[in-house]
Amino acid sequence: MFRPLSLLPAAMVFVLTASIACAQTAAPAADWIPDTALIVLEVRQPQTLVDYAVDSSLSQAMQSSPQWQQAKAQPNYAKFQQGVAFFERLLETDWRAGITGLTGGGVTLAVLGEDQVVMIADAADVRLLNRLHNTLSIFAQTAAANKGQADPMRTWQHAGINCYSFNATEAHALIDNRLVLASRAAILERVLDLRAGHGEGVMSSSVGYRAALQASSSHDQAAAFTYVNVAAVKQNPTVAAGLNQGIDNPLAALLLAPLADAARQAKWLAATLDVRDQALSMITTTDAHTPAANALTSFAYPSSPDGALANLNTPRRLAAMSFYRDLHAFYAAKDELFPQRTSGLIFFENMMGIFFTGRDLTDEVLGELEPHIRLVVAEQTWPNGRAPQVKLPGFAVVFQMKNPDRFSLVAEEAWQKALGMVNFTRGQQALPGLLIDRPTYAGIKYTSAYFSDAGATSGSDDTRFNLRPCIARVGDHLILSSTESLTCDLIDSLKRESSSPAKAQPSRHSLIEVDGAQLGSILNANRDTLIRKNMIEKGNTQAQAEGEINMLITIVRAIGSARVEVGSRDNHPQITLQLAPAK
Amino acid sequence: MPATTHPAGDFVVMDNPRHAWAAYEPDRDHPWDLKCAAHLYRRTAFAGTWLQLQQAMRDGPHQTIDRLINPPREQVDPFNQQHDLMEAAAANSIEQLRAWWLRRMITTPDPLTEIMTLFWHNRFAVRADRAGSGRVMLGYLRLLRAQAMGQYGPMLSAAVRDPAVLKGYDAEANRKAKPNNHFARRLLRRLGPGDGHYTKADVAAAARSMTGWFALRGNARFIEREHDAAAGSSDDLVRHMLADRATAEQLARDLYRWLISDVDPPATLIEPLIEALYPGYHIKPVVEMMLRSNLFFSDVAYRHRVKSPVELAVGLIRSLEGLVPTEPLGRDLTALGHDVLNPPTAAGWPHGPRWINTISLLGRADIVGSLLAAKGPYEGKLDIAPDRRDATFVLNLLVQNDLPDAAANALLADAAPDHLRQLIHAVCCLPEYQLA
Amino acid sequence: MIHSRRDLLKASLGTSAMFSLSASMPMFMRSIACAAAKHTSTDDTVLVVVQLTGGNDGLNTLVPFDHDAYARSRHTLRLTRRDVLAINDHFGFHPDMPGFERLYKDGHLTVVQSAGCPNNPRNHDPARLNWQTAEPSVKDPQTGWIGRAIDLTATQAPNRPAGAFVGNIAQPFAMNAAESVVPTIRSDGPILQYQSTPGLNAALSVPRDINSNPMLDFTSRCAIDAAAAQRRLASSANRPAGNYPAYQLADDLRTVAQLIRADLGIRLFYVELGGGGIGGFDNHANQKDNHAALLSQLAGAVTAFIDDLKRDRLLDRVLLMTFSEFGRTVSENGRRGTGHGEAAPMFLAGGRLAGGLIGPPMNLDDLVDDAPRAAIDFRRVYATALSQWLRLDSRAILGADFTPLAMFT
Repeated sequence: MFRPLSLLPAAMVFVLTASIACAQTAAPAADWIPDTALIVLEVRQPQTLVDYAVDSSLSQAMQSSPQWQQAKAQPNYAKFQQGVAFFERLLETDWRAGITGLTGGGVTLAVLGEDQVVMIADAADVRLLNRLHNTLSIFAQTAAANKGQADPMRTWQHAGINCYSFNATEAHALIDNRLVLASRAAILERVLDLRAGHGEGVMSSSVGYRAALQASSSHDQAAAFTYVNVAAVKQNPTVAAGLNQGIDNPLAALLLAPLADAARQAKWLAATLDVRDQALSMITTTDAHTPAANALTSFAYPSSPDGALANLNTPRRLAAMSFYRDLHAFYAAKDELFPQRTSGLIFFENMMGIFFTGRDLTDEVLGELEPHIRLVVAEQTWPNGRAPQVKLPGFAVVFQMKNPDRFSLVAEEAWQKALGMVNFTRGQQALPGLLIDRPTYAGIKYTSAYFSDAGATSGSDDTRFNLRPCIARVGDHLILSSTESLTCDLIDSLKRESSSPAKAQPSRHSLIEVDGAQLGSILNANRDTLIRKNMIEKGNTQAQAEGEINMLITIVRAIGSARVEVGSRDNHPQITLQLAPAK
Repeated sequence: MPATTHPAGDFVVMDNPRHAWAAYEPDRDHPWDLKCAAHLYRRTAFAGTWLQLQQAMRDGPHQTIDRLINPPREQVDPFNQQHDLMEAAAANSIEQLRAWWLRRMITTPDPLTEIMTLFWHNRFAVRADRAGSGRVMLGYLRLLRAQAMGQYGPMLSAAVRDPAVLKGYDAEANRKAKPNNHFARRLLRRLGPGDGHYTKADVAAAARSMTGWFALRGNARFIEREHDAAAGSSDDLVRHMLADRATAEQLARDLYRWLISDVDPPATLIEPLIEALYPGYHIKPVVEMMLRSNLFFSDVAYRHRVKSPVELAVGLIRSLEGLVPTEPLGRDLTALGHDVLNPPTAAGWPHGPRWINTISLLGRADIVGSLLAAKGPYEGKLDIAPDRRDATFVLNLLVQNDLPDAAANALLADAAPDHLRQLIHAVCCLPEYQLA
Repeated sequence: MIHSRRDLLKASLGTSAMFSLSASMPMFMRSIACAAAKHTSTDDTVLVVVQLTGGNDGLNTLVPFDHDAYARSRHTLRLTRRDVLAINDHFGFHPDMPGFERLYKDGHLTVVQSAGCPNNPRNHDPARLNWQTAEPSVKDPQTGWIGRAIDLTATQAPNRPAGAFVGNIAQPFAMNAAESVVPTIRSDGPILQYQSTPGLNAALSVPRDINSNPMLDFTSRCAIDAAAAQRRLASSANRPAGNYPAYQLADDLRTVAQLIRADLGIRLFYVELGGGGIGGFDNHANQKDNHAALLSQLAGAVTAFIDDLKRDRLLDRVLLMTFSEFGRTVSENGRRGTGHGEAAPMFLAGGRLAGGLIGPPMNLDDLVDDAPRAAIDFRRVYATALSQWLRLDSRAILGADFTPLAMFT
């Protein structure tokens, strides 16, 4: 079974239970939740999320796939369906109306600790709630009686409210149109104490929660809101150890050090989830502060109005990334940022020392680059259908130079030395080498290198034909690309930019865009390779592997476009994720 | 009830080669039973599935051996065709090539050919990391597989001119001015008559026969001007090697260790094998003679061969009719010292009993545990069929219940029907399961 | 039913022509019945080899701070008397190796100065292969020197693994053995974690009919040993394991200490620092900080290991030895790094060492292609470890006699 798929029924069960549990009282649910809770999830518009889960193009695509049909044939799915049917009979309505009726006023879920959960749901239709409670009670009674057992339902009063419990892991109470469902009787009683106004502090007055709510106030119409008490979660030794662990890989450090830093600082995290016109957006904020100018991770924090530039557009683009990273500051702090001296890093420095003729990598190379770095990944086209067996996309990185006239020559020399080194090494291994060319495109003279296909035999490894590495200068931009077609496309894009310069996104240090349709297209082009890999990596039969890869391609295509922005707002780190359906 | 004893008494065996190698015919004293069938399947197919063992019990030894030696072409040919394509597409990576070979061992309808390919690979002992590329290694494995049950002469002729062998034997360049004695010695020592049966002069002559052969850009090439015209050709060298009866003797002893027992036999038992091999070196009839023999079905052979880690894992997977991810399997087997594309030395992998020591048994237990785990690299793909969830079935399938009564009872007492994977794991840790 | 040997005997015509099967059994299996069962390993000495991949700059490790040629040649790397952790008037450890300074003062660290390989090719792979095989002149070598030592040890106790590589790179060639299987153990991997069940323990302890099948007898004994070893390993793993820093080498040495404590019988361990490949010690550019980081890891991990063993009174059984394929040039290149050189110090740590400096100091006045010459053939150090520490026949392993050095108390 394909894993993400198996999660979907679970998610639906969750929504169902959420609904069974749930409706509208005056006091906000957060007034009833202890301020020691680790996580609070407030689903303010349950119906919106149910609609998205069922009707979005993504879930439609999944449901129409053969794997989904297969999953429906599993015994667990039948059980699940029986459960849904039972629920519908019980409430005398279809399940979607049932959920709306039971949770229309909102659902709040709070995690207090391991196995300590409480859910507070406000029903829109109080009769539905009462019917559910009564029928379930009778059902449990009858089932027990049939087995010759006593009524499993325990009933008692606490803080003036009737409490019910079916077993040790369930306890609930009905208050007007509100259902309180807890994983233990003691937790239910704590909630009822809070309602009655005695006992510990409540979430709605906790400093963190209020700050989180405040930080998300511009999205108070969001379908859901989550508050995570990060400080408390970090009490867990595993979490703490994970956060304190340094990042070994320099590239990972370059990309993720700001996030890791924020996670270490943060006391709380707030996230809002919203659905508008089939598009899903999530905004995450924490109380961590953007670092001071001299801090270790300041290399990733632009001072407003600077920020990552808008992404570059090219044909067949499957992903684009734009970063604000001060490489000079980053590399100067390498001993703190990635302390391990791996073989790869030493090799990199040795090579850079050669390519850049002994120039200091930090000051004289990385110091020559502006902090605006953009990457583009695009599918390649092959003339005359002579595609290699493994079809890699083209990759390109675009730097902005501080002193383009001087540094572009330094870079060109380094690039040609690197090619010479590659050719020399490949020659030692009796592998074909690259030929250098200096063509012109749109008035720009650039350097490219390609593998001659003389002597290439069919059936031999042709992966090298994916590569046609290029270096090009357009104004103060430096393009390093793995393919020639992408180089030319980028020359076009950058020339367009020279008339209307790319805008910096203020306070954003990372902008990532992925195009599902194009990603699906390249996966599809490599379908056979992926299937073969799947067979030995997962131990699948060929038919199973084909199914999984087809499913993957379907899902990727259905995701549409995804956009992630990372940066800060009012000096607090913020991440925005947007999923727009495929057009 | 499990019968555990094969009352051999003392360490003696009769020296009647004719009877030893005569075809086994079941009789009242030596009935054809589950143990016999499972023994045959372990040696020729890594292990038998329950259906295969049942079928073998019905068919008797002759028909079963017929089927193992000549599996139905209508199954084997399409399988090979399909698998060859997959393997060729993956051969850019040594790790993937290894994974595809392991997968072939697990899924092939012709397992005896894979067992014999492993036999030849152990003899030729080319390391993938010296052969240079997966593609070169793939060519070498295909060469071995094609002749695995064929004729030694053509195999050897092709092998000494194979780029993987040339590179693997540190003989990429065989120049007239500098014949490669080291290469020649390796050929004579392991693939020819063996130590004690060749002289320095033989080595020098062999090296000169190989002059002119080069491995260039993944291909073998013969460069006429580098060949010592006064010496013979590589084919002459092979003919010369095969003409020596000692070559047949060394091959016979290797086959005996591979198919019969890790305990070396007396010369008298080897003599009939040499006669069968020499001078044509047809492999299949000799393998067939060995598999059909009284000796093969005697306790001289029964549980007298240590399973290598690959045989243990592939056998377990085949018994349970499973299919697991073979990329992680290749890595885990490598950690146990059995990187199946990289034999440690020119002499191949260590002799059977060397596979067993305190740490290797713990390592085997770990691999089996990991194969059977519901989560992890093997994704819980290995399990017992739902309609076979029965503890005694597990004992029958994996060890034919041939354990001391007390041992079987201890395992059964501990076995919960819902935790049969735990029982399988325990059985795989038994000393009996380490033996083929 | 399976034919028994007696059946074949009965059917035989020429009963006179019998032979003893036991005579043809592999040598080691004959010895197991008595030797393997009762061999105790608690007195066995252990050797831990640390490979520093890439060519360690000995002059930046044990620094000749007052030497003119050194001072002249090293512009960005030069360390003065005030920088180093001086151990005498001429030499001092790199400032990031305080652990080595302490071990040296405590007599737990011996330095073999100017060790190297004759006819050093100055190229990573062949040079490293020379150190790993200890057979610099052999074409197409098949085994490593540790592998051969493992083979020799295994003849004495076949049921016990003689050696293991601990690390997460491919097993180095030094461990390649002709007759033994050498496992790779990952510090973060699942190896050796299986738990035996009561049923399995009971099933293992049921005696097998030892006369019927020597293979089963041997395997059965090993399986019982393995179950016991696993229990020791589990209890050893539960002990708090010293104060190791958070580096790969420290993790690997912690695992080695656990395996020694669990008394599995492994006498030869091998670990690596530098990350495999060309290796982190290959500092052709920007050497200063990169090399300092590696030296700090080396000293920190080794010191934690020695302290851990000392606490458990195991240090007297353990000898640790470092090597690298070559030293580096005296002069810096244009990239603030150094080139491939010749001699370098080897560091030995353990409980029974006499301590101090052995062999002539690196001679900066007599250079070969800008690097100090080797004054001590590395195989003399190997021979010392093999014959005087492990009590193995070093000539059988190294193929020739090499005069041992006096380094033990």
